[in-house]
Amino acid sequence: MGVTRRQFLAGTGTAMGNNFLLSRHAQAAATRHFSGHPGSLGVLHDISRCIGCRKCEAACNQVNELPPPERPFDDLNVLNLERRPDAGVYTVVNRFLPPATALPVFVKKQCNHCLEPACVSACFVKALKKSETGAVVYDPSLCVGCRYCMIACPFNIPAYEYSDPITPKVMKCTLCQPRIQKGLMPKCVEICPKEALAFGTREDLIKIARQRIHDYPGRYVDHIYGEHEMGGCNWLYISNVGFADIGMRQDLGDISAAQRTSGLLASFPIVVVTGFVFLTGIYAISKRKDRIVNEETQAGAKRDKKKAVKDAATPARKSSGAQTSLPRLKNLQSVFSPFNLTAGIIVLVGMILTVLRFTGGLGAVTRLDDNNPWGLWIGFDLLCGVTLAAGGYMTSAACYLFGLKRCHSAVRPAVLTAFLGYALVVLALCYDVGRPWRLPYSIFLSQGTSSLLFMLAVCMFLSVFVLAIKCSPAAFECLGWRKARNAVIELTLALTVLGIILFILHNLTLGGLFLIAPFKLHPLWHSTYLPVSFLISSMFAGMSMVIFESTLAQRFLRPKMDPAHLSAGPHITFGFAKAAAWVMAGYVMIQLIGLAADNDWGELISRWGIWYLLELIGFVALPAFFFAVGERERNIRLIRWAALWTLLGIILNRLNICLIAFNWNLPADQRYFPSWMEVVTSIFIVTIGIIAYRFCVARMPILYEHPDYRYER
Amino acid sequence: MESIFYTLQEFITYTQSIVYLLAVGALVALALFWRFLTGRDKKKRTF
Ligand code: SF4
Ligand code: SF4
Repeated sequence: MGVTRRQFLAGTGTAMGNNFLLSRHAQAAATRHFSGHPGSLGVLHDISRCIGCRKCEAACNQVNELPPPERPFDDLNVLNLERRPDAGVYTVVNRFLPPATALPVFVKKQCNHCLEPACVSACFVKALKKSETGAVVYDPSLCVGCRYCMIACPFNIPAYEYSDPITPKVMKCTLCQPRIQKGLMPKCVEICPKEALAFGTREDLIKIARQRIHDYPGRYVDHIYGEHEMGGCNWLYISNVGFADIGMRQDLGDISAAQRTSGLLASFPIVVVTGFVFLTGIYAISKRKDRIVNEETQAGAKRDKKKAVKDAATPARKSSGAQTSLPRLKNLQSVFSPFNLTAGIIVLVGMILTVLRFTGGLGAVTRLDDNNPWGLWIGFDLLCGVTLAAGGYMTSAACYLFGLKRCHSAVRPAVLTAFLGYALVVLALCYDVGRPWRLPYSIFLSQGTSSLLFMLAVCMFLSVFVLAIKCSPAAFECLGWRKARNAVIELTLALTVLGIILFILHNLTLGGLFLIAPFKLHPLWHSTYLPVSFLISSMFAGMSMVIFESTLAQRFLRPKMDPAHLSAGPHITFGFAKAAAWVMAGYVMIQLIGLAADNDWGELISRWGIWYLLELIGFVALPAFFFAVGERERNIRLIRWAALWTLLGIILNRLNICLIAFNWNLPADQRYFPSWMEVVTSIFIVTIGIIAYRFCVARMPILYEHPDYRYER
Repeated sequence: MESIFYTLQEFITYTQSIVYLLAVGALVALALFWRFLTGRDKKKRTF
């Protein structure tokens, strides 16, 4: 039985009147089975009726006041191209020539207004919302421009105004929400001359679609696209040809984005509480062990200490606080040293690129596009920056929680590196997001707690704060602010425990960001264990970073190091090499279990498989082996090379996940490759970090003990 | 009063907001309890 458009609209009008112009809350019942807003509206696109006239495109353009198209709407030659919605176009019609039919098939593409929208789950400031009408609507007054919604959308719908430097917006179909609220239907539905689009409640549309499939079994494929895909959509399709032949993904499954991330989100509070209990427990055990050892050696140590304090204090007083007693870096004083010249050129170019970025928008300096909304600044600056900053947490944990006092001299340099790493990640984000001044919105104004990015923002904010406090004693010692310095030192345990909890949450979240987009990341890299993989890999990355950093310090900052720091270097290197090798072995096992859990073995026999094995064996298993050999043979040189190798492996892994294996199934010409300006901006940001590090170690007791506090730490 | 949720996303947003606040509260409570628990321990800093 067919339903004419007029009959259908009459029913729809009644439904709209009943459902949206009156309060509907009384109809709802609290339930744990979420089936969407009752009576929400949608559109049924009958692909078999579409003639590709582009009238819907023209109507959409007019009603949404979008910019005029490059080619007029009556030019049907554009149908030869496979297009997607972009910042100036909310809907497109594409032509397909499927093998099953001699005639072309036309498919309209726009936001599907999912029942459980991935973009809404992804937004950390609640700029996107699923409204009770069924439309997924966007509030530009909250949007930060992070583009995570674009990463999350399985249908690749949201677009971004890359060329707008100040107020870039995410652009997508609104289901004509303003018209719906006035009791009108979407303009595209109204204009369609072939009734290929029908508007009504989702329930009614599904009934109509079933009826048509039932009445004309030879005409339609027995499937309503959007009924279950990604948890269901308010935009539904029926077709006379297989959906795979007309560019519609068949592999999305029924699980919604919200379900994909809910498990990880639910684990965060447990991580916080159990992490706190577990870490303080470790501290208590190591402290108890420590006390027993201390009591045995107390008498002798006291005598030695008194004498040493006396010896050390005398020359310091004589110099009346003058910093001349502290080691100095000769080459830092030379203004025209090779380092300064190189850094100066990089900073100059970086400043020019900064001006370009903030006057011309992201489009002026990057190769980002609507299919590739995240590029080098996220893949390298954010993902690698956070991972490599793990060294600060690793050394703090080893020293203050596990009681490994030999790590003490490595704590300050590692914590400083971690702080600078985080600060630079924030700086890089300021370049990458559309409206960086709105970054605090997620914490203070509109908390999108269903988003993993929300937790990432919280971790970022708190980590910078905690690491800044942890770094402050060095500055206070320089300034002679003993009381402030001692107050912070008293907080060491609390800051260490909090820092490690943040480190765990942060890395779980970073890995979890990609759980929402399983169809875009290659299955070898996308696994249920991705958050855990990120966490474990950041542990050995942190240890390798400490080894690498101590190597650089020994080579370039030696005059700034006191004997205690110089002599502790090899101990720390061997200790962390052993630990890193062990953790890396565990990481390799987890990767193998991940392959088995997702049954991805078959993927190994492909080009991607070779690339994956190169990363896993070449950049994890091999350096782990060299760490182990170096530790056994006491070969510090080998360990240092292995540390550098591991760091390169970590960078490769993060780039693989964020860029190389992401969107792996897109044609080569639609893949992302960074522009030289993105690369130079990243180098500029790293250079700022190096300059800041050198500045700090030249002026603060980072690589040596301040004489006034030598026996207090 | 029981809240009404039509989507899992709304439900998660609501429950996570509460759960995060509770986690912060739990941290503060545990920290205070830790002080009480170890308050009589010999005052000796190991860092
Ligand atoms: S996930 Fe994509 S298709 Fe679904 S509502 Fe969001 S933008 Fe539209
Ligand atoms: S804040 Fe980010 S996720 Fe939310 S709408 Fe804007 S770009 Fe999308």
